Amino acid sequence: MRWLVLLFLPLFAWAHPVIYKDGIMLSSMTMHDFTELGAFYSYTPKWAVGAEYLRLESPKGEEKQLELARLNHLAYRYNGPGSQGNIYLVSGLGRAHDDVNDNRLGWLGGVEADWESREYFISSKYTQIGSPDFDAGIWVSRIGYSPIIADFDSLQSWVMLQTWYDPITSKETKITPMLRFFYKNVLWEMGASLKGDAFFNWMIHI
Amino acid sequence: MKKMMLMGLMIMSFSAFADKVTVGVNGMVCSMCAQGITKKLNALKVDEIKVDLDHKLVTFTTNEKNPVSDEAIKKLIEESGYAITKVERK
Repeated sequence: MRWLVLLFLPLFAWAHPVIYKDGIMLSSMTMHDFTELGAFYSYTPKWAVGAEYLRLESPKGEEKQLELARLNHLAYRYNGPGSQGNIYLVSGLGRAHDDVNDNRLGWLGGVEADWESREYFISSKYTQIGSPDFDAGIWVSRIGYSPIIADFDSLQSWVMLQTWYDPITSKETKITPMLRFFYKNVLWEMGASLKGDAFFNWMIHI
Repeated sequence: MKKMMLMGLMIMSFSAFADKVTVGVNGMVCSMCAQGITKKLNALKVDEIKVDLDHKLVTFTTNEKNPVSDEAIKKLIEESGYAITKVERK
């Protein structure tokens, strides 16, 4: 039942944390031991505000959760004739809680970088989350290849490989091959880690 | 006959105000991210909006009711997160 709920909530997926002016982004990331939910509004092409929920579950079943107000900034953008590159700074402040402690101050800070052409994609992000009771660094990187160069209004398809490390959900780096599709303003991704853990994302730009 | 002439004049008059605009846009590689451009152009009520990712071009047609200045086009592209390289009108 929890999986069903997670699949249909507007969670926060891998995406540009700032989009076009006045754009709203709803998105999701769902794994069995990690959930990220969020909604963001880009009030300029360089700044976005939003709200986010994070849940991390240890192998022993201990959960840590954060509900944060978020502020994201596009620090640098390269707009080339055949590619685009970005550096983002992200931050958040709000409530953290776990099985023992309730209503503690929670925070988040991080940096993200990506580069993409119509055929290739590479990205990496480091996010530090914390509270008085815990802190953890989450490092996620991706490489991707689009085997079919599709037109603007056609279905876009990508093959991607994601590496994910955080010390709460696992002591090991998770490696996840996945497929990414997007059509107009909707993106969805699905995959499974080499250990068989399912991975599902979706995102909408409004 | 008079009606036909009047209609012809109206069409010519409309054509005089209708520009086919071609905009060169750098950084436009992701179709989902570029939806912001079409969203903003739709808000301006221009016609025949087309995005060509191969050639990094956005084309649309203005009309008498909705002329769009080069400055407005530049602002629109920059607010969408991209860099403008040219604006051509025919």
